[in-house]
Amino acid sequence: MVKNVLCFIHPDMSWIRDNSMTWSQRFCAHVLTYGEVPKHVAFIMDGNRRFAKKNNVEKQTGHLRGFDKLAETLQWCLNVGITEVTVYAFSLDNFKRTQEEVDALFDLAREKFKRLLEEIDKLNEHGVRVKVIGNLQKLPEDLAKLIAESMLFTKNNNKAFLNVAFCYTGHDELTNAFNYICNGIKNKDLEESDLSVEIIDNCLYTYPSSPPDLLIRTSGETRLSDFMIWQCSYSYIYFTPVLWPEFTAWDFMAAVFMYQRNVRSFIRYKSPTKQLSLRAKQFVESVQQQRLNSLNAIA
Amino acid sequence: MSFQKERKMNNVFVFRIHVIKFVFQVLLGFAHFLYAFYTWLIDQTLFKQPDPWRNQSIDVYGKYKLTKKPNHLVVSVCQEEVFYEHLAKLLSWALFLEVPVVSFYHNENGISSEELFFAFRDQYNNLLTKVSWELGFNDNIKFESKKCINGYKWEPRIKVNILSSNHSKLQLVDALRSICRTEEKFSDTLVMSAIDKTFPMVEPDLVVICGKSCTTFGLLPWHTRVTEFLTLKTHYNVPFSKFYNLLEQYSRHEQRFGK
Repeated sequence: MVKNVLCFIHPDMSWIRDNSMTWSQRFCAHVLTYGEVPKHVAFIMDGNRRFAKKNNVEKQTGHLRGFDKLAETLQWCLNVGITEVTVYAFSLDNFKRTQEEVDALFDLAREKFKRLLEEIDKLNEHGVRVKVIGNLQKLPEDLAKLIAESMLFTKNNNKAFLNVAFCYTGHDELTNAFNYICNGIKNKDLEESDLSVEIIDNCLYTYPSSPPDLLIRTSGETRLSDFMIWQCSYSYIYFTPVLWPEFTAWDFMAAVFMYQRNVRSFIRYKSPTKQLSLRAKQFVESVQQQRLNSLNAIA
Repeated sequence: MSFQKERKMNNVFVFRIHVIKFVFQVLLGFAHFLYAFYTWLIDQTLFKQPDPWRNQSIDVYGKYKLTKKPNHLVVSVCQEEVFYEHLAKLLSWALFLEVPVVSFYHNENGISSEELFFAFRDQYNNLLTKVSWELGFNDNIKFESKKCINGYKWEPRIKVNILSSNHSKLQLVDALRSICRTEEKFSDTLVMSAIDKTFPMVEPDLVVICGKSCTTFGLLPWHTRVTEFLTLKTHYNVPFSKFYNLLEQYSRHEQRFGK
């Protein structure tokens, strides 16, 4: 459907790049599309620094290679028909790293979001919506502005979705949602009977995305590390020992294959549950509007 | 004439597409079959080891030494029929490896505390002195347990909980309700304390997911932020070596907390 997003001008620097699959990989990917394909895939891109250490290069080079791999992976996702991708780019806990490394990561982000703004026409043409989930207030002002602009410029697109978790933790996201809901109760926009799993769902950063069907974590760690702890309740979690910059299309296809083998054990819990009351729906809309306003203020 | 010819061509085209689709579906089905066969083959060669509590050899304690033990182990059995006899076995092994807290989780309240207790009592009557039955066990069971250890000293070394649907997302809804009721100003610490108050619980260090799929089934979303998830294909008839391997795997993993 959106396969042509790929023909951007400088493929090695772009967010979405030219097809890097070999013909045999493309064949296998095509075979996979005849089974159940996840609609939304989340990635914890772990292992950039270990990759740098292993290959005796700078940490920054490791992170840069990580970004290149992300661009490649987005391509693979589109190839098998996955329309929504969420990636964990920077955790609030990552502020514990050395100032030097944090700055380098922010520089990389600056460069990439600038690049994204240059490509905005192409993104709009192909209907890609970019959303950054996380606590933007903790970011340097100029970077927050770049991010807000990227989000605002693509906010009406609806064919493919890329969510980047930046300055994000699941605890922070839930706390933020709780804050909105508590205010709603105090201002009488909500009543206590409206408190439910669904209202929390609707007040998270990720709203209105569906929860991820498949979560892939590289580098052999078997934790969620505070990533989408609420949303991943009924997702298939695929842990692989490969380091993120070494992640190949075969690893990716193996994850989708394993998803197909396991989807039946949890799919029944995913069906939509309780409907929100009219009052709650209005409240959710107002939360969305407040978030949009604060983005406008940053940009 | 030409219309008929076109229609015929069209039919051939549609037929071709169906054949191609069929071929691809068969290919995918075959790949899944091959994988299933491969895993079955691996299962056949499983090395079975006896229960350490029943193994009389002397060096058994020295042999199973873990460098790092989970403080709270959760066994999640959401995907399978529950076999209490085997859950009791897992509990006894956790006790053997000196894990201080063990919980059993089912997302649809599928674990009966009575049956677990009776299964444990029937198999390991002599170990009842070491077990403290906590969350999800009613007073009758606690009383029954005391009755069984009559004459011996009760020195609990392991706490056992049963977690149910209340320990999934609903848990946070409860916490949210209590936050909304307080007059205090909203802050991060208020959220933390509300969650601690509604569910005082040690964060699980290790979750063993029994079943095919590595899925959390909503288990304690707030508390499993940095928890390790490992999978066990089934809890039915699981050999001790497999269980031990999981804990060993856990003890090898290093936490970084974002650093």
